Amino acid sequence: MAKKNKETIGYNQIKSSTNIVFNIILGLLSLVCIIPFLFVIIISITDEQSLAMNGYWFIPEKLSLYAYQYIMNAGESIIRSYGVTILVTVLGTIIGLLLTGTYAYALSRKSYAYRKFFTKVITIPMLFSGGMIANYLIVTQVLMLKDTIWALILPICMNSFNVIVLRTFFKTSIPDAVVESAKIDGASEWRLFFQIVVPMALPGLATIGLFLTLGYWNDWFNAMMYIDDSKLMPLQYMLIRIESSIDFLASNKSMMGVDGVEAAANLPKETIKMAIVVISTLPIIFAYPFFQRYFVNGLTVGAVKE
Amino acid sequence: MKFGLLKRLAAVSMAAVMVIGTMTGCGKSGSEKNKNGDEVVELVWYQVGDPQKDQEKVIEKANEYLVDKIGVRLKVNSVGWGDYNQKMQVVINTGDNWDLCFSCSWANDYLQNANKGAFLVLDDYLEKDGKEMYESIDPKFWEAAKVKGKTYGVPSEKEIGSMPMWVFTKEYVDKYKIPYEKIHTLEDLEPWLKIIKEKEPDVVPMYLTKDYTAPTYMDKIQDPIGIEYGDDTLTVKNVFETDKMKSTLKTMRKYYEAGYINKDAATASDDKAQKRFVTKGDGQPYAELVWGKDLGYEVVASPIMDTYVTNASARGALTAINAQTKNPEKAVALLNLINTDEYLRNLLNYGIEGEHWEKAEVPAEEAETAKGKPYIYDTKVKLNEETRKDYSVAYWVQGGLFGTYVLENEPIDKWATFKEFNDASEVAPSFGFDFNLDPVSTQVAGFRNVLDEFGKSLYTGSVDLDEYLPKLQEKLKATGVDEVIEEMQKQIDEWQKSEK
Repeated sequence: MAKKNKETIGYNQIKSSTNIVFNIILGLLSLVCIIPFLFVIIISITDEQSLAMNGYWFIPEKLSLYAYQYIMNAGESIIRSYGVTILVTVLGTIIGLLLTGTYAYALSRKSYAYRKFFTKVITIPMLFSGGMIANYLIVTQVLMLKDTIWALILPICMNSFNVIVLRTFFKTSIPDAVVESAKIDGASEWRLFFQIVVPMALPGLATIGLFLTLGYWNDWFNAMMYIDDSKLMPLQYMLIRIESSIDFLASNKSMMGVDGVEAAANLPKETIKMAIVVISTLPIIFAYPFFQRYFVNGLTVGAVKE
Repeated sequence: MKFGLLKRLAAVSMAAVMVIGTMTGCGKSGSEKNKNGDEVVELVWYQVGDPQKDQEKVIEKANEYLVDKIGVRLKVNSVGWGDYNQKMQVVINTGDNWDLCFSCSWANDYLQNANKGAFLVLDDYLEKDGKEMYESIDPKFWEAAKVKGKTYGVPSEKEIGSMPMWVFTKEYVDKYKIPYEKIHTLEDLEPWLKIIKEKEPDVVPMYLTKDYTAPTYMDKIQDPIGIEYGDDTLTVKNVFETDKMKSTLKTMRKYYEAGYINKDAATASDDKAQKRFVTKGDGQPYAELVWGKDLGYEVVASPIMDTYVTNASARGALTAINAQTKNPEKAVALLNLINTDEYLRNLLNYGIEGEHWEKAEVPAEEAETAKGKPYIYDTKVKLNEETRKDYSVAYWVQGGLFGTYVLENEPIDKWATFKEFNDASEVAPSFGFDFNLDPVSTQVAGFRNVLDEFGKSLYTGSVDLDEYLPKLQEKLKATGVDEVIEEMQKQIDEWQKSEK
């Protein structure tokens, strides 16, 4: 047996029996990832009545597109929130990439005089933060961003971690020689950055872009803090608000009594919640493969230091 | 060339970011006058509850009325139930722009904020701008709103005590002819649980969820410490040391072992598809209607014990005014108007007449029987099925219940019944006492963990009493329960002396 295996198995290849076991394990793991989402989709198209009667089932007794109709018709605010989320994500990713990219690039250049100082500036918020109250004061009373779309974009568009990853990436993937030769040919700093450095660093930028996109798409905390105007509520905040309301009402049952039951009855029903999850997840699922071809590449390259 | 453009674009977009950022921050200036020549001010009001689609419309309509009446333009910010605590903490602590906010014993803590000085002391204003509402609201509520002798909030008049009830599914009550009205204590339930267990195999006789707390005959001033109802000597006790709680837990364990209680009680959240015979609810008059509507079938209920008024229950809903507000008189006048003006109260509560609701006639005989009772209006409310979901707020967030019309399917003397209920509620011996937990805050912070660990499983009878109750006691002792009891006893003795 052992001999035969040695002959048939090539260099770096795993035993076929192990391979099967691995495949099964990985298959199970991916099922674990997919099934909950499949379940969400199924619940979103189940009839509310049969959901209440039978609980959750993989094969619904009665199908219904009521939840999606509800979102389309009554839920003008949901469509609006969708728009807000998309706008914030697109704008935020562009601004974030621009700021992070330029900052990181400057830090990566050895010829930059204040490199050490600005590296320290960016690492400090990684270790300490001003806390919620200080943040709120700055955003609402110094920057005056309360109830504007910028309150959803600016607080999270720069991130120390992203800057450091990108700086290391620039350092390792852009040889000094390239920069120097471009300079000798007469390129200005802007041209150097946008025409030479950016195309060379695409994998790194795409990675940071993905981080930013996901960050913006899933962000609800800023909306909770800085937005009171319901026209500017992003989708994720709507979802999280429904969830936390349900939790709060359930755990304060004894204090709120009947009022809690009444308030809970006014919240969107299970199927509608799930339908919102589905429509809020779909775009990001499509965005993922787009970034993915850079993703693996970007992470590993950025991780190696000289 | 191309890069010159890019450079310019980048510069321009940066500048745009800055400009828009600062511009939007600036508010409107210049003062507006109403037809009486009063200055019109904007008041920002933070309320708990999810934002409603038609809220702006309704508030606009209310503003038309308010501007001329008292010179106030209202801006309502609704914050979701679950986020309200955190958001208000930030808004209050940063001195953000707000004038009024919802406060109570279970969210945006009234006592804490009042002690901190965040809320305006209202006593002087209540004699002038708030006179009408001060006279119309039950003195018991005003008493509860006092912290160290000062009033910091306007209470919303509603049910004053908490009323734990057994909630029975009517189907089984009828089927087995159960005299539910005679069932009060936990022990009374036993024979009926047994019958249901034997005859209805797919029904859970006693359905409990993780939020359940066993009937407690005590005002838990600081869970798990408090003063037993009816104890006029004001002895501070740990609820798990009381004989009543010990025997209750024993009974719960017995029921659990007999299979009367669902096995997952300590972790379950309410699954409405689960058929049940009895469960516990915290009620008020006509609560059966609400529960029944929520569950989709009829229920009947019976109170477990007499209703007691405690600080926590009487501070169920209040509206407080910012201590830093620029317009305290107007804010008080606004609350006064909401609590006394029929048109405004119903507008804020139900939405716009003709759009969200319509007036419905009161049947003549019903009006006849209700004659002479308080809070009777000559109309009821028929909600518009289509648009009601666009505007639906919790009744007590903005003002008292008794100023609102009742719904079509409710008795016209609903609020009169509430009033009777409030008058009949017994006052707990500890009513009016506020515990200052500063000296023992570290100990108190530890209680939550211990109670989370053991409370649910003990209350639902899911674990062996003889093993886990001593464990709980031990942990509470280690966290410093005795020191807290001692401190509370000291404070309550002082309070008692000053009262007499």
